Amino acid sequence: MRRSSVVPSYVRPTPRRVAGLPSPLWTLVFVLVAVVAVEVYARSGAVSRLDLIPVSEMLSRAIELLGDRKFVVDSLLRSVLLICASFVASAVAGVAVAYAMARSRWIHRAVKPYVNVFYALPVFALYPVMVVMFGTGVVPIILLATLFSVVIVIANALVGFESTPAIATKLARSLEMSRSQQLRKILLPSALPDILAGLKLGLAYAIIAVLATEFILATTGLGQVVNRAYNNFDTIDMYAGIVFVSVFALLANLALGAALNAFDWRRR
Amino acid sequence: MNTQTQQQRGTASTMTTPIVRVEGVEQHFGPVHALGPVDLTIGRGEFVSIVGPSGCGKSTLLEIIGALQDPARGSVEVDGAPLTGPRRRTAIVFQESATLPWRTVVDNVALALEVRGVGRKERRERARELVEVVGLGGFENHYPAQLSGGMRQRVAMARAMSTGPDLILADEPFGALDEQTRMLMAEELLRVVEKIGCGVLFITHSIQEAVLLSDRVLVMGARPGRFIDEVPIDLPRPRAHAALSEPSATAAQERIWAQIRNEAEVAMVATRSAR
Repeated sequence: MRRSSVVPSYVRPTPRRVAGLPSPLWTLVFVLVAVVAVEVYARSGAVSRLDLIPVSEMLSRAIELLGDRKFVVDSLLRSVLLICASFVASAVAGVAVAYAMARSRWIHRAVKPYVNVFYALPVFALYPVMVVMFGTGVVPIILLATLFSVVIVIANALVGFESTPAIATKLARSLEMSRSQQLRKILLPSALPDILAGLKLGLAYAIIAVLATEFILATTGLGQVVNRAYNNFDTIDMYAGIVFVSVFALLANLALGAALNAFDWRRR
Repeated sequence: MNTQTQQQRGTASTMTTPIVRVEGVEQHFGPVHALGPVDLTIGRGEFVSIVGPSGCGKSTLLEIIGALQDPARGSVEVDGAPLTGPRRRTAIVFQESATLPWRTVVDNVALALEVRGVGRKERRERARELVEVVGLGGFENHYPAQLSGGMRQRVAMARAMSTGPDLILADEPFGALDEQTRMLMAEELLRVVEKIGCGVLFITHSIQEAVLLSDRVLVMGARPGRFIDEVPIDLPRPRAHAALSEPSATAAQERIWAQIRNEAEVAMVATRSAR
């Protein structure tokens, strides 16, 4: 063992292998152990089938649901599309608002209070207003999810734009860059790591918002499937829905994480 | 032969219009009278350095000539025309190496050409040549974070040269480098500037550097900055570090140091009493 190292632990590189296994593999091991534990616990009869079912049954029901055209189109695809729409809307609007705030002190002053308020506001409290104004279709869901996730995108993108080094701005001026050149060649690439970090959070917020809004507001969608199954003591469908939510969130997060690594010049 | 080149330079700058002509320029920041009034003329292909105590307004003057700030008073002419905004053929090298960390060496050098709409293939080709010229061959695809401070400053120099400037404004470009790198870079800069034959306004704290590089050294007094002495440097070109030990060079260094010492003391006392 290299316990006697004089290098403090916080500057030592992360070990590639831990106890003989590559460290990412340990993540997998822990997940598998947890899954097996739940499986055994559910099968042991110590818990009611209304509360918990074995993981294998959740998965087989989930796969079964994939063959159900109605479920795939009305619930799964619909929710995924809503999430994507809200995410894209909040990404575009968030970066645009942050850019306007970074460019103009007046816009910054005008918008900042709203950003601060929205941080603390439980957006779902607005849902009765949304129902009154827009009914129960897709519009209020997208609006609520966008409102919910745009704030974190704005906040992160603003940090990114404002941390552009002064010397880069000076350079841009000395090279006579136009506004759009400054945006494309200096501001956006400089802020990109922060923007991507904000988008990663924004996606998580969009997923939460869409599913939660479907839970309380919609008549279809993945969130509604879970809610209905829960109300009907249909534990197996409820868990199958949760499996879909988890898998989607995991995949989306991994994809954005990969994009973050590919475009983040700070990690080179 | 050496005096001959010196004379040629002299005649060249008096015959044609100077590249820079500054008359009665002053700058104020709020109640602070930062600079001037100063007059300054730089001939074509002439290398002029400004030395002076910290905070005397050297950088302010440079930024005014580079059109990064507007003077409160006075007139600035570059290449015979009044200065209205940043100028295409003026290149600025900043004290911190202004490299963009998300671009490779080649793409950093190509930035100025890119902004001017030069096609991708052509600008990369020219950038590659310039990368060779400043001695960074083999590092084309490295990122600034992988380079030393001196290498990053070479990138900035290559970018400044990429547009074929007739005037380079350098604001303590080697200020953040260690002494050895500094001297090497200074020799490098001389080589490059002699090659493209542009006028240079060079700001530095280092008297040695100023004497080694310049045709003329201007000494600026404590704030509000004014020129208190002008020292011509009669050393043969091309110059190398060894030229600094020649009698005329040591005499020039002594003369400049005596002036600066005075001014620096005045500046120190002024800041002390202001507190």
